[in-house]
Amino acid sequence: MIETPTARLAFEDFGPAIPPRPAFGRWLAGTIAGWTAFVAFLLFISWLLLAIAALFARLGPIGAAVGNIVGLILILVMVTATLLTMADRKWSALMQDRVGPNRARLSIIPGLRNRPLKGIPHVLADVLKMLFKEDFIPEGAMNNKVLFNLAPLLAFAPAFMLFAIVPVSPEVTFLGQRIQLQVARVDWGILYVFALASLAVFATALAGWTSDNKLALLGGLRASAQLISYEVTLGLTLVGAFIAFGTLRLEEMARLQGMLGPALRSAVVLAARAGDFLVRDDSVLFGWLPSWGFVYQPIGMILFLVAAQAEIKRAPFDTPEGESEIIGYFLEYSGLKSGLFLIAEYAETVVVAGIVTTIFLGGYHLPFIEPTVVRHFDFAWLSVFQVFAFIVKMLFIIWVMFVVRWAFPRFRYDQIMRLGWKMMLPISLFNVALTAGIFLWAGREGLAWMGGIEWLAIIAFVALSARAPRAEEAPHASH
Amino acid sequence: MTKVFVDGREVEADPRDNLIEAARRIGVAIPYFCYHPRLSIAGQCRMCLVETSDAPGRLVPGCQVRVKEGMKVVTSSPAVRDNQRGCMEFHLINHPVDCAICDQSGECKLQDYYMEFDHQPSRIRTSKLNKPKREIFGPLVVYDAERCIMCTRCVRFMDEIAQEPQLAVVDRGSHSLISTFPGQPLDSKYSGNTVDICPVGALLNRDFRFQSRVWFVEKSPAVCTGCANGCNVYLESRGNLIYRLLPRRNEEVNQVWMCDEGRLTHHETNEKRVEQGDLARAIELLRPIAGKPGIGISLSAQCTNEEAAAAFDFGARIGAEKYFFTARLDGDGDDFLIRQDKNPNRRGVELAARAAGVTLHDSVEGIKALVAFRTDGLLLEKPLEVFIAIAQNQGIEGQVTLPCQSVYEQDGSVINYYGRLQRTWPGVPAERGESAPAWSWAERILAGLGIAGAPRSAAAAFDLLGLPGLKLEAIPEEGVVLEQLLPAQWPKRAPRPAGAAR
Amino acid sequence: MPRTDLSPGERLYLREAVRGMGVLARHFWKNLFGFRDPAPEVMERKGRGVNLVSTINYPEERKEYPPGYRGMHRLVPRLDGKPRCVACYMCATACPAQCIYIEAGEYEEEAIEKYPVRFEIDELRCIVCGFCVEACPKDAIRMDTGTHAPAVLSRPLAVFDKESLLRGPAVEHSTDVLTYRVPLKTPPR
Repeated sequence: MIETPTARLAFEDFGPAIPPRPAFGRWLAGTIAGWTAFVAFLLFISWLLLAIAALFARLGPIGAAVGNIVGLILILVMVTATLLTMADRKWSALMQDRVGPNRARLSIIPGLRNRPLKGIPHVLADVLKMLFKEDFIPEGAMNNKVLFNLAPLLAFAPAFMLFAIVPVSPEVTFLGQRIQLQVARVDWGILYVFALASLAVFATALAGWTSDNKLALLGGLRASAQLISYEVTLGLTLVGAFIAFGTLRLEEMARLQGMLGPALRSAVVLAARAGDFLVRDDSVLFGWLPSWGFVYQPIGMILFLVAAQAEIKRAPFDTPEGESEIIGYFLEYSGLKSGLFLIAEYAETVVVAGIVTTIFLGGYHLPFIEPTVVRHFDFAWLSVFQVFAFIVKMLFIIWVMFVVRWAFPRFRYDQIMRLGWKMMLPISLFNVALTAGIFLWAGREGLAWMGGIEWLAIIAFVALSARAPRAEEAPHASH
Repeated sequence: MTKVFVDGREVEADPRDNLIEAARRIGVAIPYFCYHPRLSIAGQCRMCLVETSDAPGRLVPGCQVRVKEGMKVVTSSPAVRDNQRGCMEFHLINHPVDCAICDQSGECKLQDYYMEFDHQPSRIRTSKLNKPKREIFGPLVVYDAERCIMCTRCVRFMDEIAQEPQLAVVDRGSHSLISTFPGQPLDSKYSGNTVDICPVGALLNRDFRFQSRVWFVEKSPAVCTGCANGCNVYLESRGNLIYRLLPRRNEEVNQVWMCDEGRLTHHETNEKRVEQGDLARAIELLRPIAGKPGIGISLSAQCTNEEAAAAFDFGARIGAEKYFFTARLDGDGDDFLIRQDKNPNRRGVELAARAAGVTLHDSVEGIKALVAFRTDGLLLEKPLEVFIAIAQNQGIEGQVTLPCQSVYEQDGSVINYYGRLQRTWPGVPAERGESAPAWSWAERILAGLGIAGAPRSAAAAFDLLGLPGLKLEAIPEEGVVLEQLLPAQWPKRAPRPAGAAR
Repeated sequence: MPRTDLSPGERLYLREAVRGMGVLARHFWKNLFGFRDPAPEVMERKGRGVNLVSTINYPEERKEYPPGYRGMHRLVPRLDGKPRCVACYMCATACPAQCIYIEAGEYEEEAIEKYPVRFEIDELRCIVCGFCVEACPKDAIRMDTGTHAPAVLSRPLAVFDKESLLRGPAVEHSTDVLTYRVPLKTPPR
């Protein structure tokens, strides 16, 4: 009886190696329950936003504005941005087959001891960390303490102010009040976005310069150059949308992408008589295509997404920050100020997603089924579903931006400049000229045709573009 | 000289050489277990069989056959190799192969020769013969019959060198084993040498048994401090411990043997040592009386020459009135390697005293303060006002006791009973506490008192001995005979310098 | 290696970029709905509602060690509970980190004379090379515990003595001295 020195102790001590796979029925029930709860939660949030606005609207016009600020800025954008800090990590974990952060616990609550709660407590932990970390100001920054402290505010505040012109619902009578989920309805609409977005340059430049740190200064310079470069493209890509919709006002653009009030009412009547499936939706192009912005402006939408990604300094355009290697403009910030820079980035993501939703994805509009919804519920409930639709579309755009973030490696600075000035700017200029020409020649119908052709062309171009060359055969393969 | 050819190479051999010694002259190693150059020839192990031109086709034992003019010797022919392999297999038939617990492993001839000549798994399928293990032969020797290969080196040593035939071979064939006579232990004073000459792990030193493995200890040369004979030894030490003493060959002092008493002298270095000393307090005590009458210096015959010279130098600089000489009591001696005088350096201290021009007194009296350079044999009849001891071992404590390095730990020289000046080297790798040579303490005390010029190294202290033409570093490893110290009478069998009167 | 010259179409990497996003999206949705292969090497899944991502949440979940994994040492006991070790110092000799300290002693009445009075391993110095196991002629030290050396609060606590190392199942080989030799009655000293 001679045993091998490698005993099987460890194998005998612990039970079966392969855990049982959860039963399919249980999995299905859990999945359905989870998604139902998620949808119900979003619907509740939608109702809550409208209810808050209606409640404040009882206090008069100023009250209505305050209600929208509370509902949209403080609740929608702020909470979403906060949750995005977590979603960024969790979603990237899902994309990369990882688990993601799950170590924080709410152990002080009796029932939650040792429960990961899908990592949600990390949000709280991050906030607490930011709050309680030492707010260190480097010696060199003491000379410009005011400007040094101003920089994170300049990064943070515009991000939230941008959302003021985004319409989340149409004008609707809700709980007896005539409201619209939009903080400010201004004639110059999208120009307000451009104006405020430019302020971010001041934040980066100030942060880089007042830090009295050469690396931060270089980061600030990179950021300033990048932001100014891409603002040009950002503006030009939307010019096509202005031409298509003929307005600068975002709420007008959103309205134009679905059925307008009178048409909707007549459609409801028709649906009541002829049945839900025979409703004629006069906003639908060719009988089947929702007349949303992406139909008219494919190139504009794609370029806007790219330019916006660069504008909010998210990967792959994150050379200004480059947390891990090249170090960015907020190198010398710590504690809550650093947190402001970080949360501003996520808030900007939400805002960009909101703007893209409004201009290119039909805003709050539900496709095809709006008359049906009104027939079975009423206009107030339609607005709830529309807010829900807006949030879902916004989340989808955010998700796309995150996928882009994790799919692409960081661009080098010269590549960013080349892409911005040599590729995106000419293409967006070409897009403006083409859109203007087509619009003059054939109107919006012609723009829809053009958009369709452009989509096909883009798909064909991507499909037919060269594959990446395969890695060469390793030399040791032949021996 | 006789000319022989070993493996085709010409060798100028002594006519008294056997074939093993002749081959050794050109670096050809004929393996052997039982042969020992200083013992009679037994021809027991058959390992040294070689082919010669005198007996073609036969193998002859290399240990027993003397060289002859023109003889041709072949030490690695197939027949010789085959015999060596067969011999090894035979020796290992009943060997327990318990190298894991055997102290000999690492210096075992069976291990070496197995790797060189046998190197094959055992073909024996029957169980091995069980014989007595760890039989206590005597105070220093333990015997394991299973490991024994019956080379009878130990028996011959006890007969011929120790001349106390206490061991014998009993029983026959594979049951034979070495034994003492009933009721009579192996209590010879030279019994330890049987351990040294045992080629395998059959005889082991009980003092060293299981203390360390032989590859952990480092060998360094030294001179035994057990008695005035000054046997040359190797220290085997690791850290700050000496694990055993082995004889070092010196034909004119101890040949290749040493006595059991000497083998145990390292315990003084390992145990009961003074480790810390308060030098500042010693200086404080001496400061008020330095240069005034009433100071005595005592020094022991255990001091090296350097320590003795430094002691007299210290006394001269501090103004000592009297010098005292202490020594360990005489013990048993014999006419071979053991001297009655149990101090390693009595002659050296006397030489240093003559060089310093001082008189040595025996009993300590007539002084108020005493600085003792080593305290062996020091007797104080009444307490002194100031007593500073530079001591190696605990026992005699002064008002201040400064730790002294043992002779095995320091660089220096000693002079044996017939005037042989021999160097001893530091042989312990790690330091023990604050211990330092006595000359170093003397120099530091003097420096603390503001007196400069004392010797700062062993070499400088050696120069105070006034031996013209000799430097400490220049003493050869085998020592130098100081002709002026040679005695008139010699112990009968003791090795002595070549040319000394017999 | 020479740089590949890319055509302008290749340099766009457009198709690959879109494919990359597709891969991410596929993984995202697949993982979101839990359609994942379970990690077969995970020994136990703790807690409810864990997904099947192959990530191992270490303190709660553990991975099965491969056979031959070198864990913490143990001194193998004999059938009578004493260590098989005979204090031959082979492990201490082979150890490149010199983390094994042995003091040998002698049994009064036993066929095997030598045993370790002290056998200490400094698990902080140990580099887990397994040379000691290789060197042992008596199969007396093994690294088959399947555990790590535990974390300790002070360095001396990482030195494991004979009593704490002596654990695990006893082992006896047919070649062991104890199986064929009667105990010796000779007192050692």
